[in-house]
Amino acid sequence: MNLHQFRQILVTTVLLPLVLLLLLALVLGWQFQRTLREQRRIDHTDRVTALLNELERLVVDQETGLRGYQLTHDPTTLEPYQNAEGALHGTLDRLLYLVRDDPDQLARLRQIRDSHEHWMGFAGKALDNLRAGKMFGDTALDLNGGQLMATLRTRIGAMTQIEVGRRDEEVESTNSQVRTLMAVLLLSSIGTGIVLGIYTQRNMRKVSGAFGASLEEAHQRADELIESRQWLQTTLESVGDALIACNHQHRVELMNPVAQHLTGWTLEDAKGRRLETVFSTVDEETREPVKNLDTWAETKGPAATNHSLLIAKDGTEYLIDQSAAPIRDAKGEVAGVVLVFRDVTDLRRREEALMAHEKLAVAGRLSASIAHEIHNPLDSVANLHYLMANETDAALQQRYLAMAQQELNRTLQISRAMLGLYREPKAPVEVALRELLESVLLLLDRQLKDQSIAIDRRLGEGAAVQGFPGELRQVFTNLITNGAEASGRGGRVQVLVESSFPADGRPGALVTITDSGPGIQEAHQAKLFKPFFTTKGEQGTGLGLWVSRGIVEKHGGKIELINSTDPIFPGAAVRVYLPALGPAAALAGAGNYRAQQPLS
Amino acid sequence: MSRPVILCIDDEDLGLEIRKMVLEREGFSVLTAKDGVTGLSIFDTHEIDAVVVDYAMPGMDGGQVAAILRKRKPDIPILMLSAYVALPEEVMRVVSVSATKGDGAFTLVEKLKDLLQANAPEGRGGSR
Repeated sequence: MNLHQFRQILVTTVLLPLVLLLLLALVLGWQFQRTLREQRRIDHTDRVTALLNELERLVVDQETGLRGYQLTHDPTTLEPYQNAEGALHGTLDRLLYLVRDDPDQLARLRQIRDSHEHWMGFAGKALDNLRAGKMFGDTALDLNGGQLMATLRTRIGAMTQIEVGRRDEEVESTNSQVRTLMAVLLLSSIGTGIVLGIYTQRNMRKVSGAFGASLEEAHQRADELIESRQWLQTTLESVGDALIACNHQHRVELMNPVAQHLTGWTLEDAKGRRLETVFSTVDEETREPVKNLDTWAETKGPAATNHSLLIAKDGTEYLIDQSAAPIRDAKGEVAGVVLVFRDVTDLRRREEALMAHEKLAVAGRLSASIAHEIHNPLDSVANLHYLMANETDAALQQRYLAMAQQELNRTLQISRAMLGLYREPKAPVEVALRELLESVLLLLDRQLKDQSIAIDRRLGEGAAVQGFPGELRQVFTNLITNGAEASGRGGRVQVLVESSFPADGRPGALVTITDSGPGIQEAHQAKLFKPFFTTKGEQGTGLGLWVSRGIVEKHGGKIELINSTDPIFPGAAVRVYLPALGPAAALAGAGNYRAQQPLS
Repeated sequence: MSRPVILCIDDEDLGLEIRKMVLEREGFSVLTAKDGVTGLSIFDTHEIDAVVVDYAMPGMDGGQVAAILRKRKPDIPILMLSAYVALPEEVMRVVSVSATKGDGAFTLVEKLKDLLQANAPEGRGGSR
C-alpha cells in the first residue's frame, strides 16, 4: 500500500459515515415533514370541530333565548339570542374559510347555513308575533321552528361527526407514520451501522496489513543501519592508520583506537574538543605549531603533510605523516574534516639509516679514486724526499721543496673535498655552487679520467644558495657519477650551473647535468626516484636518486630527470633547482605537499 | 753496460717529472710519455730496457699498455705502478713486478735494478 492509497482509505473512512448520515437525515426530514403535515391536518380538523361546536352552542343559545322570551316576554331574556346572532355570522364565515378546499364539507356547511337561515326566518316571524302581542304562539309555526332547529342541529352534528371521524383517521395515519418513521430510523441506523462496520473493518484490515508491512520494513532498515554502523565501526577500528573526524567547527567527533593511542586522548575525553587540542602538532624542524586546519577545509581533495611531530597528551612525540580531506555534505558545503595520520618514527629512522648508508656508499665508491688521488702526490713527495736527501745544491733543494708543497696542497685539497662530504654545519650556510661543483669534479676527476669521460664545465659565477654543502656535494657527486656511467667509456657529460629567476617562483640556482648516454626508458621514468630502484645491477644501491631528491626537497628545491634534446648530449638531463633561501624556503613555502611543477 | 733506457708512462705531469729526476740520479736514461699511445710510439722508435707504467690513466690504462708491450717484446721488464692497493689478476700476470705509489723512491729503484739485473745475463728473468 502506498501513501496515496492510504490517504484514499482515510478519506473514504471519514466520508462514508458522513454520506450515510446525510441520507439518514434526508429520510428523517422527509418523514418529519409528512408527520408535520398530518399534525396540521389534525389541527385543522380540531379547529373545524371546535367551530362547529361553537356554532351549535350559539344556535342553542339563540333557541334558548327565543324560548325564554316566548315564555317570559322579558326582553332581557332575548339577549343571548341577539348576542349569538352576531357571533354566529363570524363563526360561519370562519368555518366557510376553513373548509373552502373541502367541497363535501363546504356543501354541508352551506346546508347548515341555509337551515339556520330558515330557522332565522322562523325566529323572525315568532318574534314579530310576540311583539305584536300574541301572547301564545302559533303552534304550527312553533312546530315548524322546532323541526328546523332539529334539522339544523342534526346537520351540525353530522358535520361534526364527519370531522371527528376524520380526526380519528388522521390520528391513526399520524401514528402509523410515526411507527414507519421509527422503523425506518431503526432499520437505516442498523443498516448504516452494518455498512460502516463492514467497510471500516475491511479498510482497517488493509491499513493494519500495510502498517505491519511498514513496521517490518522499518525494523529491517533499522537492523541494516545497525549492521552498517557496526561494519563502519569495525572498519575504523581495524584500520592501521589513525583517524580523527571533526565537524566544521573543528571539534572532534570521532577517533579510532589508533588515533586514541597516538594522541593519548580517549574518545570520551576528546569528543567536542578543538582538534588542535587533541591533535597537537609542531613542525619537525622549527617546532612551530602546524596550523593547517583552514588550509584543509579550503582544499578540494585530500592534502598530505609530512615532517610533522605529534605531541601526545603525555608529551610523547611521534613523527607522523598525515593527510586531511574535507567532508562535504549533500550541498557540497564543508561539513568537517577527516584526518588520517600514521606514526612514521620507525620508518623515518630506517630512512635515515638508509640515507647514512647511501652517504657511505658514495664515499666508498669514491674511496678508490681518492686513494689514487692521494697516493699520487704522496708518491711525488716521497720521491722528492729521496732526491733532497742526497742533494747539496740549495737551488735544487728549493725547487724540490716547492714541488713537494705543490703536491701537498693537492692532497689537502682532495682531503678537504672528501671531508666536505661528511662535515656538515648545523645550520644552512651560503654555498657558492661553482666552487661546490668544482670540488665535486675534483673528487671525481680520477674516476672520470679512468672512464675517459669528457666533462663540459659551464659553471656560471654568482649562483649561490643557502644550504648544507656536504649534502649538496653528495647530490651532485651522485648525479655526475650517474651521468658518467650512463654515457659509458668515452662519453660526455655537461655540468651547467646558472642563476635562476623563475617567473613564478623564487630566485635561486639551476644545476643541469646532461649526459650522452641512451637516455631514460619510459618504463623506468616513474620508478627513478623510488628507493632500491637501480639499472646498474649489483653496482648500484638504488638509493642515489631517492636520497638526492630527499636532500633537494629539504633545501626547498626540485629535481627532475628528463631526456635531453641537445644533439651533443643526447642522453638524460637532470635539472636541480635550488631556491636561494634554501631550507628556509621549504619551511616558509608550505611546499611540502604542493604539486611538483615542471622546472622549466 | 751503458745507461739503461727506462720509459716512464704516467698521466701525472709533476709525478712523472719527479720520477724522471729520481731515476736519472740513479744512473738511468729516462724517456717519458703522458699516455699509453705516446708511450707505445716511443717504445717502437727507441731502444727501451724497461718500462715503468702507471695503472690508472685516462684512455688506455696501464694494464692495456703492458699487454701490448708484452706482445711486441715478450721479455721487456715492466714495472706497474699503482695507487690502488690491489691490481687485477690478469694485469699481475702480464707485468714483471708492481709497486704501490708512495712506497718511496728507494723501493722503486731497487725493484727496477733487480728487474734489469735478472734480465741482463740470461734474457728474461722471473724476479717477480
